[in-house]
Amino acid sequence: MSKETDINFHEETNWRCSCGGELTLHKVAAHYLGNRFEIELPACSQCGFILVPESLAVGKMLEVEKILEDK
Amino acid sequence: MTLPYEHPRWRQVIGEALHPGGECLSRRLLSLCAFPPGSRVLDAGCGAGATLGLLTEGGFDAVGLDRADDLLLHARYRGPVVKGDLRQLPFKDGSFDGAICECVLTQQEDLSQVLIELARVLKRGGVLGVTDIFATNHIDCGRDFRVKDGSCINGARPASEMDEAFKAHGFEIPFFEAHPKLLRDCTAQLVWAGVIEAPPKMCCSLSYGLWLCRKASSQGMAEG
Amino acid sequence: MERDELKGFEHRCIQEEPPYCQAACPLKVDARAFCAAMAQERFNEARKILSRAMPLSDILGRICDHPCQDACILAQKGGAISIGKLERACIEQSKDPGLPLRLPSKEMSVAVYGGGLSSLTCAFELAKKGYEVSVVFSGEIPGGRLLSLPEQLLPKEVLATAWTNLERMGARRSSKEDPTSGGPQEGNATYIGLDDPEWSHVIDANDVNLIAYETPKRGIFAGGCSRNEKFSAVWESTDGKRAANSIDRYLQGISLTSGREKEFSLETKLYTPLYNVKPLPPREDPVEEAKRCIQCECRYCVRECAFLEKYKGYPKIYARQIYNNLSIVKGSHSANKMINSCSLCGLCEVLCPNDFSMATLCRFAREQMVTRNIMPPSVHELALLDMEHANSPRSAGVRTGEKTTRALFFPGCQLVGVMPDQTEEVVKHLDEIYEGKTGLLLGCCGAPAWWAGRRDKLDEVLKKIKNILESLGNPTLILACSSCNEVFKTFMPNVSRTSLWQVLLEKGLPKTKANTKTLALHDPCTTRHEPEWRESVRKILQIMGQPYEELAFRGQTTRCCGYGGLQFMADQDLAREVVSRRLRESQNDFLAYCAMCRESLSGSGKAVVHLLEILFPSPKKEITGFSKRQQNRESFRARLIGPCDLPPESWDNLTISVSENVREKLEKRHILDSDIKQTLWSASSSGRYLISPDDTRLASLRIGNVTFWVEYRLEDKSFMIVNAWSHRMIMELSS
Repeated sequence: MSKETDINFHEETNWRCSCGGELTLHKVAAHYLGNRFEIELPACSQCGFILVPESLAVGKMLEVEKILEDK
Repeated sequence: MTLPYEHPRWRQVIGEALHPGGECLSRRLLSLCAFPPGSRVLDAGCGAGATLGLLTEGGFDAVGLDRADDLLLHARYRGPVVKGDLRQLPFKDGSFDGAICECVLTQQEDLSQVLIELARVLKRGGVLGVTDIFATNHIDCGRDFRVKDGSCINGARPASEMDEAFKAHGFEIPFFEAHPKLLRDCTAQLVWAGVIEAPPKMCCSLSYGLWLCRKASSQGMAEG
Repeated sequence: MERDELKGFEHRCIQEEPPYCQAACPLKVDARAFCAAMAQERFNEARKILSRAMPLSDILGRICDHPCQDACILAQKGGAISIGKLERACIEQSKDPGLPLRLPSKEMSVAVYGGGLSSLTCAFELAKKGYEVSVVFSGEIPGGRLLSLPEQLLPKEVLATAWTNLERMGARRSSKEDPTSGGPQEGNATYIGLDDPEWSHVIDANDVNLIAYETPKRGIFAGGCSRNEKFSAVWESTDGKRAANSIDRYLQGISLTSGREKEFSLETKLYTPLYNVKPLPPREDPVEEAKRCIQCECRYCVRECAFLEKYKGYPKIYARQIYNNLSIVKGSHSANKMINSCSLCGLCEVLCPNDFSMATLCRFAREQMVTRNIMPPSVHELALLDMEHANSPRSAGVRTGEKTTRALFFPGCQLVGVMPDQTEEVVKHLDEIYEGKTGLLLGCCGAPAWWAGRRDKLDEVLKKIKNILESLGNPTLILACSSCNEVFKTFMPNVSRTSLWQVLLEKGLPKTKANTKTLALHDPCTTRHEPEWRESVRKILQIMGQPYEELAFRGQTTRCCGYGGLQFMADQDLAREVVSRRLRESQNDFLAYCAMCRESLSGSGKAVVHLLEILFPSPKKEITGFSKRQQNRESFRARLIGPCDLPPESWDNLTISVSENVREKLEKRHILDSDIKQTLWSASSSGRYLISPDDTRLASLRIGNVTFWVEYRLEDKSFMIVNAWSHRMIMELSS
């Protein structure tokens, strides 16, 4: 977990994917304005659907988006 | 006392170079400094030794100096290192053709003493390459932007103060450029990783500067 | 606006100009800072402030004829600060600040004649600069005409001490006979103090050049003349000081006058508003009197604007910051938020004695930021998307007039979005007035693009409008929104236009009963320079018998509601503060005649009503949000112009139910109903979504620059929205 944020999204793996697959934690990259951020998020092992939980989206992601935009 | 950038996670987040812009900016700094081949160059505050390595590979007679034991443990594989204090450099007058200081001066409370020493160990005409955080748009709001583990930011001085300090210690400044995006990107990565908190909105703002300074006179103070 | 103009803007702000007292003082004593120190009983500090400008404060502080006091603007408000009295009190209660550092000896000498204040000052200044000074006066102690002043005003001991101090600085006594006779003097230059009666006849005062203090004889300088037939201690001291400066230059061989304009100016460009200063009479006690000093500055605009106040500076500083923000080399773009937070309302320009306009500055800066690609992408995005929506075929359109289209009603996008029922009533009323269907143009005028610095988008919008107007034979626009009016006035001044209010006045108002409650009338900021608009509204209110209260800041000095310039998008907290300050200006409920003012000012505890709600009453409505406004525009267009030829979107017929709490969240997060419907539709057709153990579903879709997430439950024929969020980052699997 070197470059990743330290929050764990394990509870969010209770969701099932509509394709039938299970959600497990996968290494994922988030891109914005030429920067790349690494994190482990629940994703469907079958179809690759990545879940971005609310707490991440309105928390760390929003903070970092603002820093990059220099808003 | 461990400084924040000595923390292993810091290195993992922003790379071995330990400063915004990473190796790419270090290479740019070295190419702008244009040290003649074989020059004796001091990496003042060499950290984990990334740039020391670039210097050694580039064929320069390089020495790295730092005070952090655990960083020197890494740096010694990249080139000759000396443990020491920037305020009292263990070198003779005029013993270096050039020097670099990357993201180091903001860590120094006694900037003057460090510049005196750097000027002392440089030959006349020697180039000092500096990259560091500086404050822009500085209203007298007091340097009130405390960031958790963010000592680098706390030391940021206005660009004009940096310029005056260099000049007061006998340096001319033939070149300067600002890299605000590098600082932003670096900050974003550190915030993402949870190493620092998002900086609060402040009336001063920060950028990352690159200065080329040339030692103009052999005295400590510039003339005129 | 050109770059140089931008730099020139800085100079319009006069905040850094000296206060009136300091400007009027020929020695430039900072009487403002002096009063501040005295008010805090810091007498030694106060003495230091005096000594910085007054060479011999021990003497001058007691006898100064204080032109500063004569210039104090509190003369209009109870009485000038008795600065003279304060100076005497200071001298009595403070320590002598000690002698200044003497520069190394220049090995040149000056002969100073006379023992008056000008000579002593001249000697002091020259000794300080390292000259060998010899002073010529009769008697034990110097003084010239000062010796005839009463003892309690100027004790002889003070004069004696002054001489002792001068000696300690290296001055010597000498006994020359006639400074003007014969060949070269022993010294290299000579000063003659005409304020010593013993030497006042040696030179004719008319022969003294009071700029350089030269006399017809080379190397001989003089000063200490009376001014307007009166003796003035401060001018005697000034003469001595200025003459010493001249002598110094003369002996160094440099110009006597160049670069000295500031020394001689007695003017200041400062302006200090006094409207909220209570007149108080002068106080006996010096400290209490010092407290009465209002510490003159300008900051007129800053006092009256929450935005200017927030950044703790004043326009001159902001102009510099904005210039730096745009500068390629040193810029770090941290002024982005500040630049985007100005509501562009123009109040500062009206208040400023030099017409400094933050609006002009910020508009230019925003356009530059867009051109240079440093405008943060998300700050104005929703407003620009909303504008696009208002100009899309579903919301926009033209209806030609029944007979000819000589007039075209352009309600603007916000009025239709916020109050579609009232707007429809207005159209019906106009149909009656014009005896036939009125021409109607629906769409957005482009103001959001202008405010966001997107000139390219603004030009696009205006071009389309221009084409439509031309195709209809250039009818007169009837505008309901003063912001639309500002756009047309600025960019299409040749288009003939009038206000809805003017038309109603001329052609007839609907028959309605007025409110009996008095309402505080809020002029939208875009009516600042439109007296006709404001007058028409007031006439309408008078005719209707609607009692209204004029606010202190109205008309030319009206305040913005927080919507202008898209302020609320750049800084929500600031916009809220702006709203609450405005509402505090009156105990009454408010009356607005701009749809966005009405929306912006509502919801903060006061009722706000739009003029059209009085003219065309209908059941009370709640505040709309972005989603509702878009829906209103679409249904309005369909009703009045007819459904557009575009086929409906696949997701249009989806029904969603949103509770109040969730609605609040959606508005705060800028998530529209159309975004939600699109996401749900995509999930349904692709079959891709997540399901929780309790059968709640989670769908996601990227629209434009944003990825939306919608948490929902299936109901009978509709979707119940549980939660929604969004982000701009794009995700991909690493491995």
